[in-house]
Amino acid sequence: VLVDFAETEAANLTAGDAVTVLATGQGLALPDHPAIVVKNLDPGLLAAMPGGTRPDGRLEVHVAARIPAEAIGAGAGMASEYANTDLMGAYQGLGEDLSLGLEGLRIGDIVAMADTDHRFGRGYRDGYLTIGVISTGQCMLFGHGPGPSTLMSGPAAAFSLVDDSGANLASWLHPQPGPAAAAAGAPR
Amino acid sequence: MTGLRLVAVNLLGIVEHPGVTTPYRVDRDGRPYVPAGDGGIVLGLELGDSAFGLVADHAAPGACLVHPDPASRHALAGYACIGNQVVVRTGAAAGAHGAVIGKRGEEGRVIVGLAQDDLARMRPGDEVAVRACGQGLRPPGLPSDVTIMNLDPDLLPGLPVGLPPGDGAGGAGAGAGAAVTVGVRLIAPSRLAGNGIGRPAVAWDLDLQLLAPGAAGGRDVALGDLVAVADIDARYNMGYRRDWVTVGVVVHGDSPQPGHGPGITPILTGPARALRLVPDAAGHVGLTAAMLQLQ
Repeated sequence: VLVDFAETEAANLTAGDAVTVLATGQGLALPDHPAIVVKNLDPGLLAAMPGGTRPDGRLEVHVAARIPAEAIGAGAGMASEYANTDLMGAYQGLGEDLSLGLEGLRIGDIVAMADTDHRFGRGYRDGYLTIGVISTGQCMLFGHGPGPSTLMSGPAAAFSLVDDSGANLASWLHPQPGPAAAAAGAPR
Repeated sequence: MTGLRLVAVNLLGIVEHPGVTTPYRVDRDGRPYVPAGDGGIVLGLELGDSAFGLVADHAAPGACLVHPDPASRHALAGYACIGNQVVVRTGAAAGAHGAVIGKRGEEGRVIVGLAQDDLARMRPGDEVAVRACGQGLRPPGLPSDVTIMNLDPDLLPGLPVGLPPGDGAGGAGAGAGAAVTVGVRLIAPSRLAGNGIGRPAVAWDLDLQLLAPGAAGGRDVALGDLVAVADIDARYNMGYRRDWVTVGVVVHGDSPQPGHGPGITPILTGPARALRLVPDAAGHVGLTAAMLQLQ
């Protein structure tokens, strides 16, 4: 579990410190979107994210990047409630033949993974879509890279994506610069 | 590497007992299933059988070998090569001969094929000696940017792999423009590469999320087939590299789990211009039991 603190507070943390996590969110269902499975997502954060049900019934989600299925790296085939899926094609400064145009990803970005089904694990499925949040940074190890944690998954037709460079956890967890600490995933 | 001589190493593998942490896994549609056939000794499944149509999870045609010491187990998986000779050392099948037919990931497993009569007499815990040889192989004529791995040197001539003429100097790479030709059952796009990406190719297999024959877009593959994956570089860890190609041997059957599927143990990887693929969906013949003298 990765948690975010204000830099001044992070400076006072060290290995072995105990942190209480008030865990809530697993099992969250969206009655208006029965085909979409939601996981690892605090209801309060969901409410703060832009988008929502459109007049045509689809769920609008703002995303900072769209990820092609070719980018899915280490983590495929594993449970989507644990760990994350590393993305390839985001190796800054390396060869063009390694690039999938993902070098600009930022930690906290909300991303949409094409043809990816995370409802019951993590795998390729034509016509499905998974929304995730980039939770780790670059990794030079081949086949690894920035990794999204899963937030939602369902048929692509159930979603309406809006490209929005501001679609990042920081926009909703840290709306104003200031001393207040916010733990990613903790309820408000 | 030119002209260097390979050595062989005798390794000890212990026949694995299957293990589960819960009786059920969850398939790609959310249904629970019992993962029979995932590890251990699988009977009645042979090279040449379809990788699909089994009520099984990752079933491999033979016995899986492991080792109780993690470092020894990694060495077993890393050194063993397809085609290496194995001998059962203990138990009711002691003295039986077989061969390595592939490897699997996680903590490391070596899959060995034996005659069905011998497999039927084996049980988990039996000791099997593996004569490991092949890592680092660079046969004469192999283009300098193509890598062979996980392959016994004596098996190479029997596989549908054509090397450009060598210079006779014992492993010198061919000149620029030379290419290896490889007959394969099919070429899968990299987006179907699942579990195994980001893992070391000398000790893991790469699962391919292929659709079963009968499904729209599905195609059959057989255990032992050579299958290519486009845009995957498997020289070290496996990952995406445009215009690169990896060829492997199908070593286990399909899996109901999302992100999994028939798995290949990589044997060849290189730039697409130096590794020319010849797909043959109907007539392809890859690794066979006859080639390994398993009957």
